[in-house]
Amino acid sequence: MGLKDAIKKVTFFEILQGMTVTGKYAATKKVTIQYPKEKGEPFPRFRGLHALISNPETGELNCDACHLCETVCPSGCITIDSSEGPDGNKQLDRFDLDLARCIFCGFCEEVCPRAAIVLTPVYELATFDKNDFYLTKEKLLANQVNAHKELKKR
Amino acid sequence: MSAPSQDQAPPAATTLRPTLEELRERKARSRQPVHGDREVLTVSMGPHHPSMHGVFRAEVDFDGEVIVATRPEIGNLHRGVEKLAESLTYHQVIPLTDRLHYVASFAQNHGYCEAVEKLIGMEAPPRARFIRTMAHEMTRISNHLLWLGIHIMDFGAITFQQICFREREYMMDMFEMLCGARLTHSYCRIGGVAKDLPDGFAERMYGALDFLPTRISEYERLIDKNRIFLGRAKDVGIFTSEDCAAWRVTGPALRAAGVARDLRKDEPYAAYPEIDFESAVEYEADVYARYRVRMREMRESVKIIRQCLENMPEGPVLAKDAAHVIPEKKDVMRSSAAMIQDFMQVFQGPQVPAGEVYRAVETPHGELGFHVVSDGSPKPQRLHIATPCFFHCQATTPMWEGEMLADVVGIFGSVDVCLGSCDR
Amino acid sequence: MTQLIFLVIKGCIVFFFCVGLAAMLIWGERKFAGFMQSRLGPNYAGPGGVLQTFGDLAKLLRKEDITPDWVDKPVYKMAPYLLWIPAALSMSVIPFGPLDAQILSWRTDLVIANFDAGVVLFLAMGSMAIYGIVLAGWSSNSRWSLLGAIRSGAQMISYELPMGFAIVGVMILAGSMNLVEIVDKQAGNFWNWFWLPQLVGFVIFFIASIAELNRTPFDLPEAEQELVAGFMTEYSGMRWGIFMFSEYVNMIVMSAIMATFFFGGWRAPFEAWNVVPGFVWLILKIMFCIFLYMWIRWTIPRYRYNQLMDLGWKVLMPLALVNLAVTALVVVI
Repeated sequence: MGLKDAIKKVTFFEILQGMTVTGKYAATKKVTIQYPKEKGEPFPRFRGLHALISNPETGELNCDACHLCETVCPSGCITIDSSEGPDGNKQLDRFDLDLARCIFCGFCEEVCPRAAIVLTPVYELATFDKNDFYLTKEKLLANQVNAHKELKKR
Repeated sequence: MSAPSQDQAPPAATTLRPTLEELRERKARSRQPVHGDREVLTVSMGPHHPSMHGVFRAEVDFDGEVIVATRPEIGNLHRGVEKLAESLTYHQVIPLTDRLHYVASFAQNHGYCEAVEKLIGMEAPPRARFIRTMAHEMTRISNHLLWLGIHIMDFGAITFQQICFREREYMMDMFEMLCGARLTHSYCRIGGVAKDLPDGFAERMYGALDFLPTRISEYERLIDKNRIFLGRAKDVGIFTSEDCAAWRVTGPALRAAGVARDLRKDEPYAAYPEIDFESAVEYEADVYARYRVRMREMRESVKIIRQCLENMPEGPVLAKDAAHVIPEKKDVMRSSAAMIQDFMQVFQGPQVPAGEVYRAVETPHGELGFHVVSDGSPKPQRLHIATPCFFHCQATTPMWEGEMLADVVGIFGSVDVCLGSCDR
Repeated sequence: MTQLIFLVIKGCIVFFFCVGLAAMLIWGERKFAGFMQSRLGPNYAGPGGVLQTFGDLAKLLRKEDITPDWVDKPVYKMAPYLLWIPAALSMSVIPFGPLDAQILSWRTDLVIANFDAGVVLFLAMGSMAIYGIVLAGWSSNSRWSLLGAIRSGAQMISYELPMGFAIVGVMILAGSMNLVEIVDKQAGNFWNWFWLPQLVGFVIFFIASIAELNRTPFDLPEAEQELVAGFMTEYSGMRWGIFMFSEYVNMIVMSAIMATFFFGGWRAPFEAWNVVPGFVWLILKIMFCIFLYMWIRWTIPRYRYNQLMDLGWKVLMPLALVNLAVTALVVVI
């Protein structure tokens, strides 16, 4: 062991070096975001709460009741009832989404050919009542205000 | 932010490589003698583990401070992933693979997609291959940062966990920007990746890449030469290359024993043949060597991501294969052929030919292999996942024998086990 | 008679100072730990989170006092107090100011007990802490508690010896065992304080004191809980709170002792600054030592048990003996 190493050992050099690093962290700006007073902004592609999109003028749902999202969902959390509407096309009767089963994979959004279901950046989903996790068509429609505007284009 | 060239890692030790006999000797010397006939104290290092490796249970027999025997017990986190996969189409299995090793989700997505693509006989387009490589290396950095924090915290320096998680936020933010989720990415698809890089991704990534090497150097300054860490990591937990071969230990632990096996170089996939990088190999086979391997791998990952971004080819991110690929959304909305493809892929599933394939990738933990058996239907007949952590948990038996109680957690941490990956 | 009243008042002041400072230190440590980890510490309870300790105290007091059936009840209940009360008693010999000082219109010694064998009192009381830990673990009647307690006891005993020898060096330089005289002999500026001539002794004392306090890097009893919580396993609620609290009181006492022996006690760093009362300087020095303890705790990992014992017996003991011999030689010659 050379002289330099011996001196370093005696003066606890590397321990003091380590202490300067933590000391520097103590003196610099902290990374804490003080939730709930400050909130981080999710990115546009964030996979949060779902929303059903409707045409803002006519109020008509984008959804064509094609059952693609229901079929592709890996956890089977979407239940769709469709029937023949007055103009001969399929119309959506029931769209239920069990949020407790959802794994937020985004497949339903990905396969939808009409951009009818999107995932919004809403992530504060905690609730005291478990029934709030069973989302119906109305609740999903109400959430479309939070959807990123580019995803809503039909 | 200083230029990257100022924060180079110290060069790897190329002198004094110990031979296998020397390592065997050192192992024998560092371990305590085990007297077979003395009374032992049986401890259950139970599922509630203070050292946060997941719900791993080991029944350990102690003779004083020395471990005499180990009986590892896994399965507390078993969720039946392989069985579930038999009832889902090949596309729907991808979110399941996320949750194997939840810290490095994309690596598992990638492995699965590579295996299925090999079975189908299809290749992803060049841009997708580069994006996959980049995302895989991002998970490598993320995983190694988490590993570093927890490992050094096991040794007592609790600060490390907090600051490494702070660094990990950069990578998680990048993933959130890329695919929408911080932890369970589900970003890889059969035939490519789900979405293209968003605007502003490259700039933000370059910023993170400039910043990370300085932070890695800071960590090295904090802990690398610390006498206490060296005392607990050097010549502790020596696991030679023959031990690794006998117990199927792969990944950084194998490379720390001197074996230059890296699937990114030996059986290349994605864009790795076109990228210039080094595989980190150390020769001491102890806890300190595994630590150095992972620190070097982090720096190499930064290099790889930078090269991917610089050489990223233009083009589609999903292959044009109507029988196996869910098309991109913008095509679905505009072309009826793509819409039909969308419907077929969802309702009928991909037309995977009958046969079986085994494909492994180099995840941050080690070699992750997917054995896919197909009978021609859109759902896998059998999906077996050979995770590295399963074998690492099994290898605790030889690794801990003769070691002291205080080193148990250090050694276990140095092999980097995640129970989600072990139990599936 | 007035001296008796002063004695009682001084005792109360010092006691409440210790206890109050320990409560603030719990908050301080969490805040400082947070800062070093690049995060804010507690900042919700009260301005800057200062009331956090009191919130924790209120919570612990309301907890159910669970005394397990299988423990040795009298010893189990007494053990937490053994850990810190004797150590706090050694605060009685620490001088907070000069002898025969004038406060407003009264004259009194700014030390509770001008005791001729103050050093011996400190060493004796410090050893009682070992009883606290071992009895806590033993009375818990559980194998982990016993294991943790014995290891901790062995650690503390091993480090008592180098600490004692380091103090003997100071005693030789001062020529007395009375802490008041030790502080008096450090009169002058900060280079006259004993840390300079006794640099090796100071380092040995510092390291040994960290081991005595069971703090990182010697915190095996507290945190090497790969298995269970060591001697504190069977304690819950306020009894466990007493253990936590006792660590901080011990830290204050040890810092005060270190300040007295090596940093000149109540003396100012420069002669001219002695107009500021002595106890202010003493408190500043105590805070500085505590700051050092905390900084080290949150930076470096912990020793393995056999390495810890090696350090105590094979490194610190011979160094302390050599230091003692050299000091004695230099003083004689």
